[in-house]
Amino acid sequence: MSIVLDEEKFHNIQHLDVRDDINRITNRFLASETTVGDATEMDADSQALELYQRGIDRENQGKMADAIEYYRRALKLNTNVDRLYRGKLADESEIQTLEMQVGALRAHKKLDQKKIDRIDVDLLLETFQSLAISTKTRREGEELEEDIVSESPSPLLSLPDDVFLHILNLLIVEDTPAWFNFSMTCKKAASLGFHRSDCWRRLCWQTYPQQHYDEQSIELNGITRNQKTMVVNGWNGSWRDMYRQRPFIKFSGIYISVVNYYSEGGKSEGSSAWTNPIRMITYYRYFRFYSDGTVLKLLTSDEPNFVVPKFFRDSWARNGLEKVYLCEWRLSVDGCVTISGEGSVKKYRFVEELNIQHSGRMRHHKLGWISSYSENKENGERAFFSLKNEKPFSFSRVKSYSRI
Amino acid sequence: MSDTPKVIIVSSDNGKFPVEQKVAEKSVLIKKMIEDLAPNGLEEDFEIPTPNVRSNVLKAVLEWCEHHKDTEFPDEDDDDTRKITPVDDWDKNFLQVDQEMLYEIILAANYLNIRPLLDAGCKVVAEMIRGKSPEEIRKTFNIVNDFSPEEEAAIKRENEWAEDR
Repeated sequence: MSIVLDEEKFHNIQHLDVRDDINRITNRFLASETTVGDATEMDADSQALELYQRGIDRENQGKMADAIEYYRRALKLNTNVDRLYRGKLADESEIQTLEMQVGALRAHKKLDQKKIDRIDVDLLLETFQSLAISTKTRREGEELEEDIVSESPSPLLSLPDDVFLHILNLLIVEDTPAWFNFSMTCKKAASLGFHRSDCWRRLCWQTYPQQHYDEQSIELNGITRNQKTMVVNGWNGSWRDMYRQRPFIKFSGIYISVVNYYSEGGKSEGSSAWTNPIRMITYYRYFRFYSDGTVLKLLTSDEPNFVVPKFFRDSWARNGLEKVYLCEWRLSVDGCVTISGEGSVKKYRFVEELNIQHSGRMRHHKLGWISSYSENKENGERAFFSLKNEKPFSFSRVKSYSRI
Repeated sequence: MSDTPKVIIVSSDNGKFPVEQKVAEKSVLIKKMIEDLAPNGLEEDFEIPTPNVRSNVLKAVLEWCEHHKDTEFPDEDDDDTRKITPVDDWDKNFLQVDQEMLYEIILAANYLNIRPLLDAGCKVVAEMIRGKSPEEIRKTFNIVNDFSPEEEAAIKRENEWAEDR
């Protein structure tokens, strides 16, 4: 999470820089590889390169016959296409190092971290609040219309606080990131969006009634849907504290756990190798929670960019995913999530227990493992799975998931 | 029919707008006023000044009231509505005005206490905010960034977790 001064502008500038460098390199590349800069020859070369690239793609997919066909066609156009390709790769890696340098440059532009750390955000927002109030009282003394034309460069900011808050509330309900972005625009917006309790109250009301609590939490711990009772009893009436501290499951995205480990294989018979072959294994666990108490569960070697766009409750099978299970989830008062449902073996019920954790400043962002077991449906016998290789889940927001 | 007393709403610049009582009572403020001042029903024309509202804004607001005079709006309970009803097409069209006019309509709706119109106006503003970065929002609404870079970074860091839910 690097914080960059005027991020937008800066990003654009750098973007241009990089593009310039890329142009420079491609130009050089073209100049060096095309002998006289003949246009048709250049076309033939780039065509050959493209065919060669396709060949490589096919080879990577294991489609050897297709690959050879592409290689053959590429070689017909330019007998040196393999060398040409390697030259291109070298230049691309040069581009990559350049991009990394730019990244480093970006890091240099970081703000004074210590200065940021010294800021007490609560106190800061407190000072903005007096600012918001002063514009308000000024407005009440004057005629409204004059206020609009003359006072603030942004008439939006001259709207009365309660109207402003109403807009923020709408944003929270419809599109929470928009509430955040709007509140980040200026002091008045930050004061109303982050400091006043109204928005936190709305967030609580939007979030907690959609959680599914287990019976124990409802009966013994007295979790109620009335958030007012909850906040008064548990958090001295502070909506913000409740939202910061009381665990909840998020629905506008996906929880992913990436597992990497090595497994050592055996030597093949008669092998004279000194070492055993090592295989790296990567797999992913995915959870997507729904506010009706169900959750989609998937264990696969497929990467997120393949799974995420397909991971919908009513269309995963149509979208080509396999072995997705629709389970149930329940939350306990202390943030323990129990997920249970059918699995790969009919005879068993599979259960995962996880707890909601913070990840640095990102709150309620991680799911850590507590246990994982299968339960024989007939005799209730439980068999616990090893959690040795398992990694916690991290939440990622997914735009297409937020509209349910 | 011509004998039915009208409510005459007077704008800040002295424009007079006679309307049916039913139309005027879309404004809860006016409705309460009539209840208080004419508890036995209107016997003659009833004049109400709205010193905050310019005549072209008032005209627009009354056009909205006229169109919706028979619309039943559901009571939106503040705490329990999780979903927001979208702005209806007529309203959306009606609110296709420049930003300044939009704010004036919102302010007038707020002042006259016409909740559904206020709602629709706010929803249109919210729609203009959605999907934009803070910088794009500033540009759209002509907002000046008055944070120091450090303040901005600190506030962002403190609150960005709450975007996800």
